[in-house]
Amino acid sequence: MSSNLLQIGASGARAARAALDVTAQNIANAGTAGYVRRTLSVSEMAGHGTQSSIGDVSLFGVGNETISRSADLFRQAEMRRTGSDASRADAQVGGLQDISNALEQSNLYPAITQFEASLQQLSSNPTDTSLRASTLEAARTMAQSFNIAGTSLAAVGNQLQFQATDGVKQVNTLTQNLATLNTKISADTDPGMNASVLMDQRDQLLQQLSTYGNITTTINPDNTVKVQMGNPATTLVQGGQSATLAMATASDGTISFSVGAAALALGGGSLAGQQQALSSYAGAVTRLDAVAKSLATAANTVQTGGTALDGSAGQPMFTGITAATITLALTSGNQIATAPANSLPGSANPANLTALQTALGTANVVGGTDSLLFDTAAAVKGATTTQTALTAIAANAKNALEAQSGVNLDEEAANLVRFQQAFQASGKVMQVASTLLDTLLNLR
Amino acid sequence: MSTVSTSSFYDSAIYNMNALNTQAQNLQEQISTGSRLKNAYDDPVAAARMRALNRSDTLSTVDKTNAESAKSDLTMASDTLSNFSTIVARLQELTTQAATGTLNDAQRAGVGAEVTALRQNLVTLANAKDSRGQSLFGGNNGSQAYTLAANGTASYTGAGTADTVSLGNGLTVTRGVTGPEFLNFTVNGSSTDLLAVVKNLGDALQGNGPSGTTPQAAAHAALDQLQAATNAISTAQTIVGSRLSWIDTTTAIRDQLGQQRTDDEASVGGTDIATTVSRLQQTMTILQASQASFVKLSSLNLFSMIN
Repeated sequence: MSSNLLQIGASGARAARAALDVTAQNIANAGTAGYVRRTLSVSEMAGHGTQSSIGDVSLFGVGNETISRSADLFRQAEMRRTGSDASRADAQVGGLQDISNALEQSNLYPAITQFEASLQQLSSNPTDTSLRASTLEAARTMAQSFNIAGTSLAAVGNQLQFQATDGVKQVNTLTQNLATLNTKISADTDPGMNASVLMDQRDQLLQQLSTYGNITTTINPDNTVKVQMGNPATTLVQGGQSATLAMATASDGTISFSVGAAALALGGGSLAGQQQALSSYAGAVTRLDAVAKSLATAANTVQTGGTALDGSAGQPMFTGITAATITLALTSGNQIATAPANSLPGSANPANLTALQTALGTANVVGGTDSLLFDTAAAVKGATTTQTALTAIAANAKNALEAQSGVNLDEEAANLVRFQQAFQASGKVMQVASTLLDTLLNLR
Repeated sequence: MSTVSTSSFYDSAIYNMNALNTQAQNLQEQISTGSRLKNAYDDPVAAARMRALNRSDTLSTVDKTNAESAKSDLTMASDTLSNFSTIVARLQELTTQAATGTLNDAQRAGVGAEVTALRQNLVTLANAKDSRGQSLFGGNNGSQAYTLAANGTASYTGAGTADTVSLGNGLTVTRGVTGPEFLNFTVNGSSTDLLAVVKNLGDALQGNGPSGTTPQAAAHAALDQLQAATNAISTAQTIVGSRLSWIDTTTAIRDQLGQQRTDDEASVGGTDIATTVSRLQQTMTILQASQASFVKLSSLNLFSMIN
């Protein structure tokens, strides 16, 4: 009986010691990313004594110490899903902002306005060579602004493609790691600390994977995970096997994804955001090139229908019909054909200059540029609103998960005191058992 | 139960303080740049409006330059027209003298020599250049207004009409008058021009007129023509004067519109200093409060209480 008391005391001390270990582990990992709070669950040890009558209960203390992870599968899945959405919005907004900045910072619109203004000024005195020279420089500045806008846009496209390529690489590394982890997890049947560490790693990899693409996960009974990505849900990881995600870049710069031979559409994650931004990029390039082409065509048509200052027939003003390649072809301000066809040398007749101004208006160069700038800026604004909402949702999901699975140091401090007292109490129990035995032995 | 994990407490505190800091920086930038639009996507509609306003500003500057250049040409035309009317007045004096019977033909020939000299001045004035080096009364085709033939006959070789100059907002002004508009006139049903009339008068007074016409009769006939010339010139002066006042009117309109644009720019893209400063103050107060409460809360640690 008293030896049983000693045993009960010892089991209590053991349980308290294990609980202190778990608390210490939690405190040590309070700042570790992906760490899920461990809890110790114990159960009472009791059984029917063999020599006692039926209904008598023998007490054996506490035991079955099991360390479990306080992970909530639903909250984890929510965090991954909302995180996917938020990182898609982040990538899209980032890309769209770069597109808008590339167009805005090229100063294209002011350059076009300046060209218009210089034409207007030239019309007051078409034979003034200094006004002609300044008009020529305004035309050059405008062409170069188109070049800057074109090349900056291309740089934005390249950057987005580079990020997406890197994202695909990361996805493939992560899925390989997950497949390896699956193998380890299924081989490890020890319910102790090691399996928990593997599951922490598994969840952290899933979390990282979800920032690149929208994934659905199925946790199998043996704690391995099956990962599916995109739409239609395509299996990337199952057991120890992982499939490879591939990316293709079209000639207009847009990207598409595939697994094996099957195309894969992504609804979330940074890859989806980069895909959306690249499709906006392709649209912006098309529109910018269209403006450059209509400008070059209009200017060249009018210019070749007029007479230069020296009485010769006008030459085309620009070569190249895309934003990146448009170049001023005239070398001297005197080549600007301000006078109508068959005019005398030195004619001050501004009819052809007026025709050029009208043609630029008809070609909608200013309007086209303005609406391009407005549409890209408005796209950023719209996407930013969505991004703000999605970020808040993702932050809430993260908080909800952390509240449930994260470490609260105050709680751990209280546990530390609690289990220390439990340990001391169990020690006291053992001391009492010992005293009781001594009392019996000293009876004479 | 809603426990907050220690790391999420720190995470959200950092996130919130960063957000406040960013907001304070944005406000500070708005104040120091005077513009509330840092990027076009901050407010696409306002950015588009600002683009349009700035474009109007740029074009308006050119309109102003053009208006000033047109004004100087018209002023020059007006001054030259005054010279024309002074010379024509002198011609009328001389012709009146020549038309009276008190002068003999030799004296009339002397008057005729002065008339011929004055005609030279008229031709020179008719071929005057404007501020651009273009013919003042010759339109825009690059040639001079009047060309003299070998026998001294002047013929108009300029363009049919004078240039128009855009003054912005669709308004234009004709920047001058052409020679025929004030030198050509009709007397007694036949049309003629001042240069021809004065040439014939000079020739006739010096005895080189058509046969059968005495110098005195020629002077008599010329009086009506010179009166008609005076009327044509003063009509042209009135036209030029009204164009000058039209330019002044459009300049006033442009200045008014420019003022309005400046107001629009300030309200669309400018920083409202009072509001922004008080919002900055508010943000800073909140930031300081969150920093203070963060320090308080993070020091409220159970570990520090347990000894």
